[in-house]
Amino acid sequence: MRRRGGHRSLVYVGGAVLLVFALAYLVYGGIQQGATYWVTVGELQQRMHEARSAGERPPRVRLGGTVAVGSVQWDAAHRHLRFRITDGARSLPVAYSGIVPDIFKDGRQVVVEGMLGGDGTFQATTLLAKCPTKYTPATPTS
Amino acid sequence: MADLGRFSLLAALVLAAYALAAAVAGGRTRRPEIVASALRALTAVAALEVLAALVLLIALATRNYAFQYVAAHVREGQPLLYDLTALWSGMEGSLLLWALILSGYTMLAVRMVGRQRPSLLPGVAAVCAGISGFFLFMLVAVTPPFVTLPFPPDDGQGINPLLLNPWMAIHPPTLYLGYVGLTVPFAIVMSGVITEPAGGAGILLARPWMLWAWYCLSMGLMFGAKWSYVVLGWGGYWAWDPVENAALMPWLVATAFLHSVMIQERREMLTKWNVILVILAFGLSIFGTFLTRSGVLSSVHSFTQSSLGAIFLAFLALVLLGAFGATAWRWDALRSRNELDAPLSRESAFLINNVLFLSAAFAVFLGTIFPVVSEIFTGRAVNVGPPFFDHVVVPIALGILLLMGIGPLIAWRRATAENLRRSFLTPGAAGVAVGGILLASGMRAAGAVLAFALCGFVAGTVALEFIRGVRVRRAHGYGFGRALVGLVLGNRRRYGGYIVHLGILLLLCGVTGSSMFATQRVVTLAPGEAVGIGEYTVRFDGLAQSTRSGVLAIGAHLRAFDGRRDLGAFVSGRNLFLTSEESTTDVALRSTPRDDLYVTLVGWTQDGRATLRLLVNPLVMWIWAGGLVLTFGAVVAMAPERRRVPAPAPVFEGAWSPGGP
Amino acid sequence: MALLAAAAALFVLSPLRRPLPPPVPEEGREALLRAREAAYQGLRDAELDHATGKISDADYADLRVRHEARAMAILRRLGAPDQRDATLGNASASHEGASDRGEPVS
Repeated sequence: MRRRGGHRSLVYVGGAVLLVFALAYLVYGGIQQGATYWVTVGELQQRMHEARSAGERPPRVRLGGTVAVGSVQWDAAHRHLRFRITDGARSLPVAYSGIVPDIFKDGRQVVVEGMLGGDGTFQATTLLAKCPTKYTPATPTS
Repeated sequence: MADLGRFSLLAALVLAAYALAAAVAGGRTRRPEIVASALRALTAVAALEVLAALVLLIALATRNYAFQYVAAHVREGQPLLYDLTALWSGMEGSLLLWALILSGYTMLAVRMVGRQRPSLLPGVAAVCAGISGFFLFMLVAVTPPFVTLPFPPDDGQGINPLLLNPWMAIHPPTLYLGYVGLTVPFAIVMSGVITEPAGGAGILLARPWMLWAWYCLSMGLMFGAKWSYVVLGWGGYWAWDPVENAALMPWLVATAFLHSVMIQERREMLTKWNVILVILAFGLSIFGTFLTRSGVLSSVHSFTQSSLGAIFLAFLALVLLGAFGATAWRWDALRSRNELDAPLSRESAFLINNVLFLSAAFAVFLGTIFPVVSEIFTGRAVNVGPPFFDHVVVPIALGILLLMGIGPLIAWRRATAENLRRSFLTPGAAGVAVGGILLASGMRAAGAVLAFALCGFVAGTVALEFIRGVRVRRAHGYGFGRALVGLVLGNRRRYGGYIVHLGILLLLCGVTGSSMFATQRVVTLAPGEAVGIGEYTVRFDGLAQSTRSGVLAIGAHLRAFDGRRDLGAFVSGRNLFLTSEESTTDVALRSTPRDDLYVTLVGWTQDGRATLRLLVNPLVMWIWAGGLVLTFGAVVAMAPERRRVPAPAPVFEGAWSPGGP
Repeated sequence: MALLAAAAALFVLSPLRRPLPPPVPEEGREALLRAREAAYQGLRDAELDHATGKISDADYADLRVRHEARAMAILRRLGAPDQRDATLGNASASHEGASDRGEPVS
């Protein structure tokens, strides 16, 4: 009985190790596929500068900020959107073609994914506007 | 009025604290009168919370803008239904609803535990009182719902128009019934761990509660997905958003529990494991509540954006520390007496099932908190989006699917390998046939073919189970109908579970179809022009505009055709809320079991041309159908088994099956 | 509101004035009842699994013997039979008889 038990727990341990490896492998692959860096406008400009001086390709990033008031230009015929994204201190022009979510408007928080182009305009491939979370404590100005 | 509300909550907080102290004191000193006093205090807490909720509801219904909460969530022209559901659409109200549901559950739990296992009662009362106390503390000190404005405005802001939808009206309460529902098993099990660890730690008593909470979470997730699909207008139903994941994680853990508890029922094993699952489920429920409120994962570089997040996190840490600490303290006493009989048994299949579900939950958890973790370790916040989740969760889901097919074919305790091989044949053939047919008809996506083939396999297994079970009953002379009904009602957990599995199958087929085979086109059309997508043709007939109670509605009138067959007219629109400058989308949706034709109005020009986004999403209806089947199966499984006295007549081989039809 | 507070206090504190006897621990019996349920469930499972073809006759016979033996042990400790226990007694008696006679146990 003892020996059978010992053999069996070896199988279990082996199985567990195998599983952990499999999971780790999946997770690693997933991170490779899905990871994008969160940055603010200021950070992005700095990273671009670093990347360019090191001769690297600029990475895909996820840029978060606010839509600068009055900066939105929407070309309905070609579905081109241009606006400036700001982190309060600095702002950056963004160009985006595609579906604009309902909640996108001046002053809203927005997240764009894409790359900073050579001309200094951020070419966004994805645009997500943040729903002002309905769970912020009610304040008169929210 | 506001004073009454504030007083109610404060009094409730005091009473909850008292209930906690009294329950602990009464339990330890074995003085039932003290425990009785604690229970009365909990009843009073419930009553006071109801009072507070009524105050808020009345303020909402009468549009009393002196209340800050009302001014924030109600406005003129908003339908009454949404004025009332504003009770839970805001932070303070949602916490009040949480506390209220918890009190309701506490009342029920106290009655049930008092009847079935009174020794656990003080512990259950204490834990429930403690958790209620936390939420009441939040309501009194941190996010009070009864703040009044010195100068009430003439009109309120109204809730976000995206929430003005029936699905969004029932989604939060349903989800809360699930989240809060995980508190009761936690209370029962903690009480069991501390007071009676050798007696299975109350796991079996907690089981029906976990099943109910699991069901509510399932429905909450479904409603949320449905809302996302028909209201948000992005064409999908699940985005691996932190808020969505927050509800998925406890659901995964609860599903694992529902399987492993069956092992404990039969073998009195795995007590420690099940205790950990219950603690995890509750912890994830609190974590989920925290995630949806603190905004911690949605913006850049904000860990604890508001003090609210920090407090929740502290509470969560305290709860987990206490729970795991208590479990560690009682570790030896929780030891089970039995071990696995055989590696080829339903028990081991369920164990693998647990491992897979927990792996999935872990992966989702990791992906959700990744920005925070990566920032701590590398100084840079890295976000992992849907590709991460799809990459990790899909293989695990396929594994679970396979297991879902194999599991029913294996017997408890020990399965005969020979019989298993034989049982495999027909369902296996079904799966291969499905795969073959799909490949032959041109489907090349390996993942999809595999998923559908596995679904065929699992469907074959479940069908086989029903057929074999009915055959056994019919051998004793029952007609087909009675045999089927008797089979299901006589083995509610097993066959209810099979029906739930069928629901999950439908859901997975729907998910596979719509995520892998959707087609999309974005076009700009002048009136009279048409566009083809998939097998449909959609003709744009012109824009129309109307204004109604502060909302400017612009609609694109469309007509869909399937070849030459006219499928009817439908409208895709946008609603612009003039005061708040919000806008929502009215999706033009035509659903058939085969696919959904989904059209959104993206933009329009002054000369009457419309930009439309058209999607054909296959099999989406199967997802919602799966939800209905899941409900049916859950109802079957939740109904208590009738303990009928077996007839004194022939003691045939069915002697041990409870009652007949 | 003061009225509400007073009413609540009265409601909550009144049980304290009437001390009740301490509860009698019923632990042992409950555990046995649970074990009995588990044994019956095991028999039901084995029966259904055998009837639906998942375990062979030999495996079923073996499992049934073990479950019944366990159930009998629990029943002896409980000392109070119910209808199902009576059936168990019959079945196990017939089983013992059959094995004495050298017949295959079904």
